[in-house]
Amino acid sequence: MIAIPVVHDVIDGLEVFICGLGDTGEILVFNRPCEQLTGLARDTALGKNWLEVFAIHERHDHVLTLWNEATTGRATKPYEALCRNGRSLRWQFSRWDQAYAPPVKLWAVGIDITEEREAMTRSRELDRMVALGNLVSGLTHELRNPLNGALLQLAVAERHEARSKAASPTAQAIAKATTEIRRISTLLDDFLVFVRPLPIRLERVDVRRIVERSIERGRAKLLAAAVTVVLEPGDDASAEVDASRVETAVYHLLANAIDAASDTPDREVRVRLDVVGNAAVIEVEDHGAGLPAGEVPIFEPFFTTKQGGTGLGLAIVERVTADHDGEISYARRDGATVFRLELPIVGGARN
Amino acid sequence: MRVLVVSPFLAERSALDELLRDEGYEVSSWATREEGLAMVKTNRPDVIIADAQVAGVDGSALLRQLASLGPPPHTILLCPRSNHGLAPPGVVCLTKPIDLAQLFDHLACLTLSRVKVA
Repeated sequence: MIAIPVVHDVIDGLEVFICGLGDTGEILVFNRPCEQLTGLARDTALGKNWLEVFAIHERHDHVLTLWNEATTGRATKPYEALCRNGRSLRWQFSRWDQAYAPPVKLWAVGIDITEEREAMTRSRELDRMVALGNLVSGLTHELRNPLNGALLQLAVAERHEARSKAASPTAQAIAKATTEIRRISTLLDDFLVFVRPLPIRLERVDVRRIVERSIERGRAKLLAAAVTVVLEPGDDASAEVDASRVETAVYHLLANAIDAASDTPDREVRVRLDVVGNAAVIEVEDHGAGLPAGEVPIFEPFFTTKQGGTGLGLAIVERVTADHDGEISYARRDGATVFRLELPIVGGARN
Repeated sequence: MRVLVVSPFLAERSALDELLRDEGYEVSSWATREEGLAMVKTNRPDVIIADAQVAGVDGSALLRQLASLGPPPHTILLCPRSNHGLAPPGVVCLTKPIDLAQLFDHLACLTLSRVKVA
């Protein structure tokens, strides 16, 4: 006959949860991992029913059925339950008919599957996100057909109006409708960048060149707002990034700065590029009113403080930054709002 | 200059028809690729403006069929997604909603090049 202390010596060092159960499920063996998991000392746990300790939120009849099956010597299905400290455990019950003191009838052997479960949930969430992304991407493309039709029809109406008389209320209504439809189109473009589930494509590129391209892309906006942009001389950096995404991110930072600068006397946006350690740092600065005080979720999709903003610009910047394992932050410095985008020069991007 | 418009979207098709006529082009417009191709055979347009859906994803399906009918007309595709310049050579892609001024510019260029050739 094997004595219990000897058993404990063996099973205490294992990284699995082991309980020896008597006829009615009372705990006769309780190894150290079980103590750590439940916070119960062995002496306290011994004699308690296993169900009260490990299956407090569960239906007990299911466990009893499994026990009965195990007692007949059949292989039973695993039993998964949430432990009281929030860990998920997978238990397997098996019969034991060796002579023992006290008389163990069943072994309950458990492993912690919390991480496994979380990984599974994450992977399912990711699958759902990708599926949703594809769906949204398909939808936004479909929407461009009716948008195009509507804009072209408005162009026809505009011509008819222009022929009849100048500056009629109808002409104004047409112009307004056209602006609105253009806005929907911009929203779709932004949204598409945000949800696009394409993998990131890294290549070694000149970051200054990317910044210049972003400025080029903002040219029309700069002209319309009569704002100038100054790209300060600074470090040149070549970094492994997804050029088109970073260009989009910098463009959105610029676009925000241009909007803010259009209300200021200097009407100026400054852009800096520096290298700090392994990071290419891009700073975009304006002297506008800045962000509202307090904790504001500026990187949340659809959060906007601007009339007519889509609320996706900074969400896109945040997404692109995260995709590169970079960092985005903002600060008020001497009356200026500074957005700082840091991208790893090498080893960025998590895939 | 003869322009053929092929699009299954009535609002798009009818507006383009009217706007292009207004610009002085000779326009015929159709809803399907089959109708469009039949028109190419009989009418030999100089330019086709086609919705990407009727032309095949990148216009290649339409181009193949056009090529079998003799020297193909200039082709302008109206695409619901930006295809980052992946169009076959000789095809211009305009992303919807299209910039009308840009479309007119293209047509004006084609008119000029035609005058030069003639």
